[in-house]
Amino acid sequence: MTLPNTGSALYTTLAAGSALVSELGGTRIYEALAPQGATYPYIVYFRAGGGDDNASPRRTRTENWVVKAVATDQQKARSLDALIDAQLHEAEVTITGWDNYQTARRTDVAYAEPGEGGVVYWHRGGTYRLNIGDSS
Amino acid sequence: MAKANRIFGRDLYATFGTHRLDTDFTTLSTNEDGQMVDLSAGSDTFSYWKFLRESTTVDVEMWFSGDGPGSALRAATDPGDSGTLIVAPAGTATGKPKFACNDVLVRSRRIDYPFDNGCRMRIQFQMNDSWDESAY
Repeated sequence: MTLPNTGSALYTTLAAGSALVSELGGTRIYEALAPQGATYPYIVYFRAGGGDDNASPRRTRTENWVVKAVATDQQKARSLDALIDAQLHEAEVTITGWDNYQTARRTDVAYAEPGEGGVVYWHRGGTYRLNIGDSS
Repeated sequence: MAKANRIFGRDLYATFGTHRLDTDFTTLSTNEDGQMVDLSAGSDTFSYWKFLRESTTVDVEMWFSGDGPGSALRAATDPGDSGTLIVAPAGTATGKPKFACNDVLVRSRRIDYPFDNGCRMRIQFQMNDSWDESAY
């Protein structure tokens, strides 16, 4: 048994969203950190908690991931958030070796980050909970 | 008591007829109860009871899925169905305790379908004979 590569699976699911990629202007979707100097807008996603349920002999996990858009335009950040939601909420994320029996948006992420020269970086997204079970 | 001698739920082995109960269980409880008769007289200061007979029930709760521990077991556990129940709290290695009853009735079955979680099935078994302890 291998631990799930949920990050890779999320990337695949997000990148498969043609409307999302079109709104982004490319597959600027990054796990954990965007590269230095990355063009805006982009999506960044990272683990925000969870782990093994240890509730029955069948191994299951609950993983929480923050997936958010970062843009210099507030409306763009909002529209990207809606498209992320369309890709993930109640979607089935394909994870090698694991079954994803529920993906659901749990909490919202929304804040503004002041940058140099008066630029404001708008962060919009959500925390998604993935319930997965070992499929072996 | 040494830690190594503690019994953990993960070692449980349990069957009803040919069906495994422990495949995806979350908890199993045995309840050894007794029927009592009140012998108190009207003028007595205290209550006086006589033990008549033992009445044991076993409750098991498991995730309810479409595969093995779900549909096949559900089909075999309609209320009123009967069979042999075996509960081995520490597994089936030689010398481990084994509890069994050869005539067991399915007393009740409940399946919950929560919106935001997996479905669970709960079954209560009623012993129709003695609840015997032996060893593997």
